[in-house]
Formats: sequence, structure tokens, C-alpha cells
Amino acid sequence: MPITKVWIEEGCIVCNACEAECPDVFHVTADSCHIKADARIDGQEDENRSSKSVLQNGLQSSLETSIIAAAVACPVNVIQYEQIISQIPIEPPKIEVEVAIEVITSVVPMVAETEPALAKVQSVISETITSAPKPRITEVWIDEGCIVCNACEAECPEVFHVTADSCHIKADVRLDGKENENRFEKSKIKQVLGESLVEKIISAAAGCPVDVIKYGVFGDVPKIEKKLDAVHDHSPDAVRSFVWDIAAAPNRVVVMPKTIPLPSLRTFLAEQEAQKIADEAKWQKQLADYEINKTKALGENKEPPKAPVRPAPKKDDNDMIAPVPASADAPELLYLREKLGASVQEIFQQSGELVCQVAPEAILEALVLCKDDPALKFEMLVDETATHYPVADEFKFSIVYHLTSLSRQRRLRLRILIPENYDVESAVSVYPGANWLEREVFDMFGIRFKNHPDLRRILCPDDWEGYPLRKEYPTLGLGQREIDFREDRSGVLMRLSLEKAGNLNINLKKPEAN
Amino acid sequence: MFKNEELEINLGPQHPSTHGVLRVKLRLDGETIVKCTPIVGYLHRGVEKICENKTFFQGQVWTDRMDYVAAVSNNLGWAESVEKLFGIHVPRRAHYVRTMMTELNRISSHLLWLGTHALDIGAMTVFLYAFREREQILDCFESFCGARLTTTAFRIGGLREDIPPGFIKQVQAFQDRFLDCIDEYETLLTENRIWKRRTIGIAPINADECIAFGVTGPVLRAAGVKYDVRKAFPYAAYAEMNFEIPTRTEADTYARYLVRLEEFRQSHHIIQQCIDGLPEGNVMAKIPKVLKSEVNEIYHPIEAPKGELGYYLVGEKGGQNPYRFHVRGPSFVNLQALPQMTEGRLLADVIAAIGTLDVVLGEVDR
Amino acid sequence: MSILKKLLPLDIASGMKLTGKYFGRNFLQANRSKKHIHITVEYPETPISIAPRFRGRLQMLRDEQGEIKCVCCLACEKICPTQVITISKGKKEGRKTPFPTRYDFEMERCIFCEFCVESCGFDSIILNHQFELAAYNREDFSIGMEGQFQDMFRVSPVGQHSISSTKNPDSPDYT
Ligand code: SF4
Ligand code: SF4
Repeated sequence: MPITKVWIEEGCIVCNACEAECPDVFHVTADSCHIKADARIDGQEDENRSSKSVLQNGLQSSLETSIIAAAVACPVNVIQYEQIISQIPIEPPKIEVEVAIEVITSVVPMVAETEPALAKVQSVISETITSAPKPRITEVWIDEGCIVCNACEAECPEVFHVTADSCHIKADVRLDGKENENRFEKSKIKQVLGESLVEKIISAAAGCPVDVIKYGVFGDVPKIEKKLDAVHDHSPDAVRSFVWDIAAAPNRVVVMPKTIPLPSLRTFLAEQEAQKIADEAKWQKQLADYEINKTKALGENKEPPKAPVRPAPKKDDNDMIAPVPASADAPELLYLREKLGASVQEIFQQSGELVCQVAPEAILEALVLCKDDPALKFEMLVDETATHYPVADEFKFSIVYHLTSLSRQRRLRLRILIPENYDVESAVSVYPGANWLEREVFDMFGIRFKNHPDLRRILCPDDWEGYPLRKEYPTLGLGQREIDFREDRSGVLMRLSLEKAGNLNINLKKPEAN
Repeated sequence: MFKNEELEINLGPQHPSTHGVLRVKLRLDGETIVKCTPIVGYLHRGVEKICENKTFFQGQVWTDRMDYVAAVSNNLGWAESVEKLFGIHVPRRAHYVRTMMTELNRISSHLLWLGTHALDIGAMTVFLYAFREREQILDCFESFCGARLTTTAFRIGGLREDIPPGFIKQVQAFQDRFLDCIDEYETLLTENRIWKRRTIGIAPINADECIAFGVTGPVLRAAGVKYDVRKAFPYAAYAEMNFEIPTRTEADTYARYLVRLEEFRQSHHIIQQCIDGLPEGNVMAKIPKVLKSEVNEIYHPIEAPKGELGYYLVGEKGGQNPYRFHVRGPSFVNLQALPQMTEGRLLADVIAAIGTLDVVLGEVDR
Repeated sequence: MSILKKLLPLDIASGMKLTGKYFGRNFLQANRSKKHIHITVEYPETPISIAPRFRGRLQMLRDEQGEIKCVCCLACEKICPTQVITISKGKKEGRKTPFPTRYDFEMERCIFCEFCVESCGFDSIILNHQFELAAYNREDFSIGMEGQFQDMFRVSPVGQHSISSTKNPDSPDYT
């Protein structure tokens, strides 16, 4: 049920619990907790204690659970909220049949002029009522907590589609034609499919390791027991071993990033522009809403609502100034662009550091130039490393080279963006010190370097599988031994993650202390 | 009767003179080293991956455990790089205290190096003298932050608390006798003929090779390159400090020993300046309780006792933990030069070479 | 001259002189001098003193009425880098704020960073001065509220005697 208003009563102890639960709504300042401006209609930022402003429409139902969680988490119970309870009566399961009848009867007076037609319609009605409806699934949705394990898609590809970060109910089975988790809409699925796919959907739901597939049923549907896989076998004979295969690691927890945090002047400027336009549009909409409400209220002889105020830019009360990218004015960067021409993709400065992004093919040329050109003279390669950006489209990794000029005491970062399976030209021929650094990049990311003298793993064992610093490499589950928990040793980390991963019957025997 | 055969042996990973779990694969022709291959990774704990899954506040405790003999320097690097990522301005007093603690840590790290390096080479006595002073520094750490080794000394934005009462007195007590202690080490080693025989001309690496391999720290300075991050790219309060960069030109083990001894004196000098000029004021910047980063990418180098320690951080929009965290450990990069220093020389020199590079395997393997 | 230098081991002799000096001083004066010249302490017999800020084991505190101070804001559970703390929130009659029905602390993973104490806005936990934390069983490392083998309010039996006086910064022999 949507939450309309949230406010903070007196007595906040600034414990930050609410912001941790629901950062979209709460913002904890030095001495109090505020309801954020962009969550509220009136655009102010304070405790909302006196004004009791209404939450933004879009957030009312989507943030329901997290607001309630925050209110529960508050140690002094000062978070208060208003919730619409049972606005819509709960639909009885037979609703579809009734609707069908309704539609047909309402059609009758218009269409059925003649006897036979009426008879036909009546027969349809009687058929609908008499033939016992088949059991079927009325709706399917995915609750929060999907771990993107692909089990459902393997079981029932007609309905489920697993994307990079969530599982969707396909558009062509749903009545509303959207494709998402169906968590809030709870759109019905097509009746025919609902009947034919009963078993598949139920077994997919049973196969879900985190039990987030939920469905509404009509009639008697078969029950399928939840499958238990080998991990749950706690018999002494069960093989206890490391799991070596990443894909098969049963308890793996993968947190995939959602953004591409690539600092760049171009994207920064574009974002600024888009933000400005969005702000303006929001403001215009608020004005228009206000006008409509005003005329409506005047027409009904009620008091007109308060005029909206444009939110002033927030003032931060701390010692932070987020460093933003600035256009390059350092002579090194301008010189590099002049020398390398089109292969320089971008130059900018941020946090006082010089960044030059070059085309991946030109990296060796750029390194040679940086080292040997008397105007640059970056003699030392201090660091070389990579970053994985799995959600980016055109590239998958960035490799950065940090160069230092000992004689001129300047630093420069060269950056290249490379797609998957792209072999970068090794820097060892220019800077011999790149040898181990490149081996480490290969070890951690699986990026191969052309002409590297000795490209082996360096930190991991030679037979290690997977590349640990890629984002899809699990932080938990791979190579982890099964652990028995005693009841009073509540390892939160393990317990929570194992619970999440569906291994619910952990605890088990108390080890004998001798 | 005499066969000319090459012999392959493993030095380590459990060898006391490799200072941890370093394994060096050596191919020998008699006693001469034909090929030397350092093999690392026995202590790999995935610090980078862990920190990418922890908040900026929590990440600091892992930096303690990289170079565990110089935990304060590691903490400083972490705090300063997060501050650079967020644009936080730290109060001047906090900078001074940080500088003082880091210099104390440099002394304690060099003392550990001195003791163990001398022990490897065969001079037992220095070890005890060096640890006597190191103990006193660890006591200072204990009263400053409550722990001796894994200090977690600083906080993002400054210090957790101001220095405790009596702390300055405690550091001053150390300061007062430390110069004499350096003289004692010198009496024991500098002129000692055995020590000189075992270090002069051993494990040389010249300036060009150092720069090519990215070697930094005392090893680079002993080759005659006057490069110190504290001077070249000042951080903390080093811009306000008056000190020299000691250099030698011999580029051998003995020169590195002399450079480090001179660094003792310079650190001592810096600490004295910090004590004398300690400004008043608060020690913590105003920062929000939940740090959420903007899109940014920084590389922040500091001069750790072993060389340039750099942290590379990538921040994601609204992220509470680093998107990418990378450590440029000085030991890791310096260790690359080991084959260069030992190939074609004698087996016994490998021990001296490992000691003089001053590697800590916690930082090499991370 | 240089031949003489080579023949006479003066460099070694100066080193010997230094060690001899320390040996003599310790041998002759150690037990007589008023001034403290020992570096080592006969530890289990003589309790050692530790700095006031020493970070030892986690301990919960009560207020003057004997009530548990903790109000279950879970700040410590969230900040702990190694996820050592688990708290179950509950209610108690006659108490307005929530009450921890369980507060579990797994000491074997605690790294004594003091982040939990720092994050607690109610001063309900501290790291006490107990440093003898070894035990024979793993069970002894899981510490909880009353009723368990070790509880969070007391110093554990193993290390009770180790908490000696903390150093007094005003005393003259404070080093
Ligand atoms: S001291 Fe650190 S590791 Fe130990 S419980 Fe507190 S926060 Fe966790
Ligand atoms: S931070 Fe303090 S009050 Fe909050 S749960 Fe922990 S001990 Fe209790």
C-alpha cells in the first residue's frame, strides 16, 4: 500500500539507521534527519514535521518497504508515516470469470437484436459458467532479492527472461505488454498460457534458490516440492570440497555494478546539461499541476493550494567540494594532443591530475613519446592497472598507466578503453617495470598483452580459475569450504549470505569440544 | 670427474631470511647465480577485492594489514586518497599529527629493517638495539591510537581524537635519545670490516635500471637520484617541513644502509619540527556520516618507508564503496629488480639483496 | 697508516666497547639503581601497564540504574568491517527504547579497530583493556549477553588478572 507522507517527530538521535535503510528519502545531517527535497512535492528539505508534505507520486509505492524498514530500524521510533490501507478491495480469485460474463451481458443489448444471436450469446454464457475452469496461474512476479542465477529461465523460458541484474516476466505473456519484474503492477498473464504453463512455472518457482518467484493461482494447481541440491546434504558422507567452477558455485554472491563510473569531461558536461533540462521540466510540471489544482479548487469553491516554491540549491555544511573534471590547460596534455593527433580521444584534468585517453592501438606510440620526448620526459612508469566496466557497451576494461617525470616532477595518467578479448600492446619494451604490473593485470582481469616476455599468473596459483577482480567474480562462494555453524556462533556474514543463497538449513551440529 | 651441471634450488617460501613467504627459484652454476626468479603470491588475500566491497570507512583496516611494519603510512595513504577523491579539507593540526606519526613509523620500519638485515648478514647485536627503540615507538603508537601494529591510526577527514595528554612528552623522550642511538648503530656497523665486506659492492643496481624497473625509495636514492615523493609531490604537512633528501651514488647495499641511516636523522628532524610547530585547532573536518562518491578517479602517491606507495581509487556516482581500488606497493615493484641485482653474482648475496630491498610480503602479495 | 688500520681491529673493538658498556651497566646496576633501566618486564608475575586508549575486548556497559545502555540502533553491526556483531532487537516492559535480546560478538574475527565504539552514539560499548584473549576452545570466543559462558559485561575469567593499572600520563616515569 503506498505511503503518502513521512515525517520525523522530535527526538531524533542522528543515528543514521534510516539513511542506511532508505537513502532515497532520508538524509541525516549533523543534528537532525531530513526528508529529502527530491522525494517531496513541495521541494523543501527538513524534518517535514509541521508541513507534512506529500511524497512524490512515483516514490509512494516503490519505496514502501524501505520506508517501513527505516521506521522499524529507528531506535527511538520518531519516523512516522501515513499509509493508504486497503484502498482497493482485494479481488476474489474468480474475478476473470465474472468479468467475462459482465462483458458479454453488457454487449447483449447492443448486438443481439435477433433471436439466434441472443441464443448464441446465452449459450456462451452458460458454457462459461458450467464448464469447470481449468486450474491456472493468474499472475507471476519476482520479489526483491533475485540473484540472477538463470535457474528460472532454464526451467521456463516462455515466461522468464533473465537480464544482467534482474529477472523479467516477458512482455508477450503479460496482458499489459510491459517487460519487468511485475513486482508492483502484478499484471495478469494470458489465460491460455497460464493454463498450459502451470507446471513449468511452478517448478521454476520451486527451483528458485532464493524463493523470489511468486505467483497467483486459480483452481487446484499441482504442488511441487522445493528441490534440494547437493549443498543441502549434511550427511557425513557428503563430499566436502572446494568448489572450483565459478559458474557452478552454489552459494556465490555476485553484485554486479549498475553504472559505468568512468570519469570524463564529455560525459560530465552532458550529465550537467541533462540535469538542467530535467530540473526545468520538473519545475514546469509542478507549475502546471499547481495551475490545474488551483482552477479545480476555485471551481469547487475550496481554498486554493499553496503556490510551489522553486527549491534553492542545497548548501552543504561540510568541508567537501567534490572534484569535477575540468578542461585541460596543462602544457603536457596540449602537447600530447598536438603530437598524437586523432588518436587522443580525450584530455582533461580532475583532482589536479592530468588524464589523457588515447586509442588502444596507439598506446605504445603514446608511451614511447611520453618517455623519450624532451618536452615530456616521463621516465618512470609507476603503476599500471585495469578496471572492469561490465555494463558499458563499447568497451569492457580501462587500463591506466601512471607515469612520473622525475626530472620535471609531473605526473600523467594515460588511459585506454578496450573491449573484451582485445590484446593490448605490452609496455615492457618501453618500461621494463611494466612486467610484473602487466602480469598482475592479466592475473586479475584476464587481459592479455601482446609481446609480453612472460605472461603468467603472478599472485594466484597457476591453475586458478576465473579472474578475481572482474566484477562478476563472486565475493563469496567460490573456493569456500562448507562451514558448520553452531547455534550460538552467529556468523552474520556467512549466515546472511547463505540464507540469501537459499542454503537455509545451515546450522547444524554442535562440534564436540575436547 | 667434474661435471659441469647447473643446479636449481628453491630459496623459501619458508626461509627466515626472505622476511615472509617469498620464494626465489635460483639456477646455480657452482655458487654463481645464472637465473633468479622470484615467485610471489603466497600471502595473497585479495585486499583489493575486499576493499571494493567495503565502505570507504571500513576499507582502512585492510590497509593496516598490507605493509604491517608500516601500518601508519598505509593508513595515511588510504585516508589521503579518499580525501582526495571526495575533496575533503583536513585541518592543519591533523596534518601535523599525521606527519609526526608517519615519520615515527618510518623510523620504526627502518629499525626493523636494520635489525633483521644485519641479522641476515651476521651481525646479531644490532637487532636488539634496534628493537629497543622500536619498542618505544610502538608505545607511542599505543598511547596515540590504542594499538601497536595494526594501528588504524587516522580517520577520513582527520584524526579520531586529538593526541592524548602526555603524548608530546612521550615522543620528546624518544627524540632526546634517538640521535645517540643512531650513533650506536653506526659504531656497531659503519666501520665494521665484516659488515663492509658483506655490503660494499653487493647487489648493485644503477640509476637507469632503477628508473626502468620503477624502483623507488631508498634504493633509488642510493643510486643517486634525488627523488622523494615528500618533496616532489608534497602531501600532509611535508610542504612546511624543512628536510634533506639523502642520496649516495655507489648504488650498492652499503650505500642503501647509509641512506637509511641518514633518513633516520631526517625523520628525527621532521618529528622535532612537528612537535615544535604543532598548531592549535580541531583535528577533524566536517564530513557527512555516509560518504557517497562522485564519478572520479585518483592516484595518490605517498612516500612509504619502502618507496612510493600509491593508491588508485575509482569512485562511482553515489557509491559508498570504491568501485576500484588498487595498491601500487613499493615492495611489489622493487622486488622486480631482484634478478637484475643478483644474476651473475654469488648465492650468499641473494640474502643481502632481499634484505636491502626491504620487502614486506604482506604488501607484495596483498 | 692504512696498513695499521687493517692489522688492528679497531672497528670491531669499538663495537665491543659499546656492548661491553651496556653489559656492565645492566650487570652491575640493574637491581640497585632507582632509575628504571630494564626494558623487559617479568610479565605474568608483574602485571604490565597499558595505555589508556588501548583497544582490547568489546564490552557492553550499563547505566547507573543497571539498565543496558544499548538501544539497538545497529550502527555497530553495520560499521564493523568483519561483521562480528549480531544484534536481535526486542522489547522490554517499562523501557521506551528497544532492548537487545541478543548481542553476539564473535571475538575470533574481531580486529579491534574500535569502529563499533566510535559509531555508537550512546556510549553503550567500549573496548576494554583486556589483552589476554587466548582460549582453548573456539566456543570461548563467542561472547554474548548474560547466560552464556562468557558475557559481554564482565571481563572473561581467562584474562581477569591482566588488566592492571593503566599508565598515568602525569606520573614522572611515564614513557
Ligand atoms: S572492534 Fe572492529 S572488528 Fe571488533 S567488533 Fe568493533 S568494529 Fe567489529
Ligand atoms: S551502536 Fe551502540 S546503541 Fe547502537 S546497537 Fe550498537 S551498542 Fe547498541
